[in-house]
Amino acid sequence: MLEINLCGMRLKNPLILASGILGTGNDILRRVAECNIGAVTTKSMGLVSRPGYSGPSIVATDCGYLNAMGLPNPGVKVFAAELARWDKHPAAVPLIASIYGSTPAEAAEVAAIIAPVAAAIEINLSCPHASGYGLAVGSDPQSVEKIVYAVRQAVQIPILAKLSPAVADITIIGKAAESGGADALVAINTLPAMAIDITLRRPLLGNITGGLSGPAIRPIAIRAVYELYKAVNIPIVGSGGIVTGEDAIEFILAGATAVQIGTGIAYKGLTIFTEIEERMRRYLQQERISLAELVGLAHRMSL
Amino acid sequence: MVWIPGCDEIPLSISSVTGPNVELTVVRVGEATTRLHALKIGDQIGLRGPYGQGFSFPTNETTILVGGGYGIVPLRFLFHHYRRYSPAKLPVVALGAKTATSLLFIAELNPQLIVTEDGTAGKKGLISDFLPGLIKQVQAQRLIVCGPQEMVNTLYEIACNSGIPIEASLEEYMRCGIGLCGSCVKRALLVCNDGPVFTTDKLALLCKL
Ligand SMILES: Cc1cc2nc3c(=O)[nH]c(=O)nc-3n(C[C@H](O)[C@H](O)[C@H](O)COP(=O)(O)O)c2cc1C
Ligand code: FES
Repeated sequence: MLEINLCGMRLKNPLILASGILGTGNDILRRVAECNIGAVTTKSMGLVSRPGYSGPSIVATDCGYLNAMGLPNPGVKVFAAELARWDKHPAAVPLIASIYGSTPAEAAEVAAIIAPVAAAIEINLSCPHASGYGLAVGSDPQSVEKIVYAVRQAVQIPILAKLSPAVADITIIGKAAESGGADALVAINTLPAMAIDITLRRPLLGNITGGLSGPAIRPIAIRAVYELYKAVNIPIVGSGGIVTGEDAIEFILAGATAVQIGTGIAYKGLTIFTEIEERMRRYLQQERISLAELVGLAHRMSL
Repeated sequence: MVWIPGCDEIPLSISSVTGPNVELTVVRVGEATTRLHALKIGDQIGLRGPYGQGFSFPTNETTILVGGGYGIVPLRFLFHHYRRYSPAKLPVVALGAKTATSLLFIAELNPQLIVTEDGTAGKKGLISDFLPGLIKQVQAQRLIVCGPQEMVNTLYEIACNSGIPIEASLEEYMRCGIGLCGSCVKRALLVCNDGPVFTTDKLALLCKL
């Protein structure tokens, strides 16, 4: 009932673990994969290791969290060795490898190294707090098209381009990724934000600014998915503030084929996937509608 | 999690709580702890937490608290809790360290067993050499442990051989402390959230026999 086909990948439901949430190693990804989930995404990885920023790297805020991890990762070669044990059986949960690179050649190299162990590549074009990477390249349509194109030339597996909402018009970036050869878009990553401690009178995050995630950004993400759905012809994966089944359904109605869940785990734990899945099932049964019919349904103009 | 402004945020365990005051015991090992040592009265730091799973508090069992080096710190907090809420049944304390000067809180905890690697205080050797004897002697029903991973591994084995449950507080590098970022994974477990205190069944996955 909830099975979907996302750019050729068979997912038992449309729920995907978002990048940077728990995806640091094989065993923990395996544990998440056993939680009623359609696919899992790794922490973003680059060509060489990054230590990340000094702390605090996370701050709770009213309706979400601010984070500035600084893309800590051991580098793609270590990750590839770590994930070589992942079960690539067609019925197993697909593993999406999240990568970044500051140039098209670098992104292509990282993608080529990790591709043998992954079912798809997600290009992080949108981290708001890593200079030279992510948003630094993801806000320029030409750079986005070139990076996606370079990765397209380097790997045979599907490519997802993960977009930032911190741009004037997300559809321009989405179209650039589509023409570069992306098979799907992921929207959205976190939004640039910050918090100040009034007692110590200084920014709370070690990196001063970070990315806002959680329920606070959901309406922004819904709009991004809604706009992209009109602008591109490739599937969209919605992300941003999903905590309940209702939230996930809202994304599907806006035009998402699948959704990613990250910060919600801080509120609900790993049972969040089962909770959302059950709610979606009940909704589809009650409304007598299929998941495929639901995608983008909020776009219809008349009753 | 303790925030040292302008430096870093690090995970620390609580050493003692009196009224509104939280006491931390910090060993100078790196930049952040050096900065903590340099603080003066009136300086401010940030605190968030506590997070994760703590020790159990069995008051009807004979329990041995085993601290290795600075691992005694969170056990001290637990010991205080016993002193306050279960004064009639205090746990037995066993302390091990490299050398006499790294033994903390001896006067306060009144350990029944002290072991140092160089023999400068108590018995000479490793705490694990003497623990089976102590378990028999006091007819221990549970071990509660904090210390280096190798010590936890051996004590896990000893507990299994003695047929008693063990819980151990483990250390790992942490960033978020709330089970999101995956910095603290050991196998499939999150030290910040599933731990830092793990019970026998989880330790079975973490301490190789
Ligand atoms: C702690 C943390 C780390 C993250 N790390 C990454 C990352 O490495 N790569 C990436 O593309 N997105 C990263 N993100 C963004 C999430 O994947 C997700 O897009 C965003 O948080 C919005 O979804 P949510 O509200 O469900 O968390 C991170 C988010 C958080 C909270
Ligand atoms: S420190 Fe982030 S998951 Fe444990």
